[in-house]
Amino acid sequence: MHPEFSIIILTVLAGVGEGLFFLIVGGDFIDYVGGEALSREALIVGVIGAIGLTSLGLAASFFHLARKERARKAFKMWRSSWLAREAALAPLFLIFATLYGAGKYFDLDQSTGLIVGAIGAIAGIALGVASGMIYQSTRYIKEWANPYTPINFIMVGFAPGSVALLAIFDFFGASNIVTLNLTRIAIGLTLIGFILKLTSFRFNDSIYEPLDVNSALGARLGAIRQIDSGAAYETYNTREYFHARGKALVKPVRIGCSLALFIVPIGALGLNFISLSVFDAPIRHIGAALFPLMLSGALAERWLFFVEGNHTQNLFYGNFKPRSAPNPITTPAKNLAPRD
Amino acid sequence: MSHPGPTQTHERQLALVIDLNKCVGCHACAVSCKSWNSSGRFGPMTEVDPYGAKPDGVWFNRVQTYEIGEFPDVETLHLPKSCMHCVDAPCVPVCPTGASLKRAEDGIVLVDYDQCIGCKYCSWACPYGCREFDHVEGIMKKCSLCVDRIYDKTLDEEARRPACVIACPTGARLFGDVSDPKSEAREAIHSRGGYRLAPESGANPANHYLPKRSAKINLPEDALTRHRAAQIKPSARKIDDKAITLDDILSAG
Repeated sequence: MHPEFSIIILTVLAGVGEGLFFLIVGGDFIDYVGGEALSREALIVGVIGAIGLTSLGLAASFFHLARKERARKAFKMWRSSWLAREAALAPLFLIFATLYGAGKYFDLDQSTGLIVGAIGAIAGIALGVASGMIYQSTRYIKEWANPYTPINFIMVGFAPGSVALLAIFDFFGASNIVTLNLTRIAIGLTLIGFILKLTSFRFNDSIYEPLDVNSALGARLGAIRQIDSGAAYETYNTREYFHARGKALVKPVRIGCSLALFIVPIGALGLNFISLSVFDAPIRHIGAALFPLMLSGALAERWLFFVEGNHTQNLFYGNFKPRSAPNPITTPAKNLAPRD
Repeated sequence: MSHPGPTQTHERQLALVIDLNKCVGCHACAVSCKSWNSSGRFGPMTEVDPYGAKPDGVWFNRVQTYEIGEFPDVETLHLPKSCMHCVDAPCVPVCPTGASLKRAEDGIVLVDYDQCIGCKYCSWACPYGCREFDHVEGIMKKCSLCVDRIYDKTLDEEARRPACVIACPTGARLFGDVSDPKSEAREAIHSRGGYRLAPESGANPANHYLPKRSAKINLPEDALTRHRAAQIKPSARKIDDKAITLDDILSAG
């Protein structure tokens, strides 16, 4: 599929915002039940960051809509469309996050703030799930129509979100024990994200596409090649559903985004963890250094997500990934019989 | 897994039945579609640089041509492809605004141009690539099965059919209610092995195709020589070069 930069920015920035806000509310809860006291300024800056990132993402999403003046219509069919659900959840998340941030700023009752924050955090996760479900429900793109899609959308938001929180607390001079715990959380979330992303890469490589060009055309026998696409030049169909230049870059981008988003951060955070637990001294500004790297890795990951998608309609244009060997786990037995 | 064959719903479902055995790939259906829909109520079908090196634009119907088999044993397949007006149209539930809709009364899948926000989500949900985004107007467009024409009482009964059906010079396109057992379209599907493109998609497309059949002519050995006696030999025809012909009278010079 053709990568749409407005959607890449929307899903990545909103994902990081949701992850960051969820962790802030989680931290505030630990503070409330008697854990380590957290700096109020750091939490406020974190909330502003989460709201800012999500708002930036939403602003970017407007550039995807060809008819921006009709954007308010996008909520209407929330009963059936995940896109409408995403459009409805985004303002909900922003409203509750803003209320929570305001409560923190004016130093209002912490328990009430936590309830508002929890609603916001749940709305944030729901927003991430809705973003992912938009793609999971496109059943003619097998690389998207699987449960890894929403899970990865969430986890790719959580990993940079946790590092952003580490950077903010680092800036406000958090105690070593807080930094240590945040480093632990960041390593854990990034590692889980990496494992899930690797699983999803493996899944994409093993996809068995039961549809083929013979079935698409109803010509059951014989090799088929297209000699006329029905257009003198490119069409929407040849541009939107296939990205030849991107397809050539899948392997290097996979390695690049794994390094930037997961491997290098896990290594650096691991060093920070060792430094903290052995010498009781954190590596200063490690979060601030890692966050831009992870954000660029997340953007590359989302670009890859789009480029890796193969749409069924490409069958009619002779552009399709060659069938890989049937995967007995993901393929029902009835599809294994030879067709021709 | 669905099987090729007419749909089992009893609700009215208008659709096209296209005989691939008759289609000669002349693009008359595509051109007449463009002509009608650009001049009709749906507004122009955008063209960008139509006479230049990189023509681009919206077509509801495209005729794609394929070569089947290995040279020299090849045959040509012309496949006119427009919206299939699927019974379980996957493009409809995904639309966030309700602009993508399936009419209950005749099963036609339409786009409400005034509601569309141009998010392209419906085109991702379509397995056949039959929706085309108009990047000039910023809305999704697709075949309307000439809904502005087939119900127009000011037109003759004969003309109340989609433009592509009327234009087809070989009569390869049939139009009708495929869920009505008495319709010509349904009859053709039944009697001539009508099938659907990519039935595995699960979208339950309403448009059907009649398959290409063997083009071999079975002539007996003596068929070409049997009536030789009846043939007029060239020498038997007497041509008088000097005689005045009609052409001599009518031509000025």
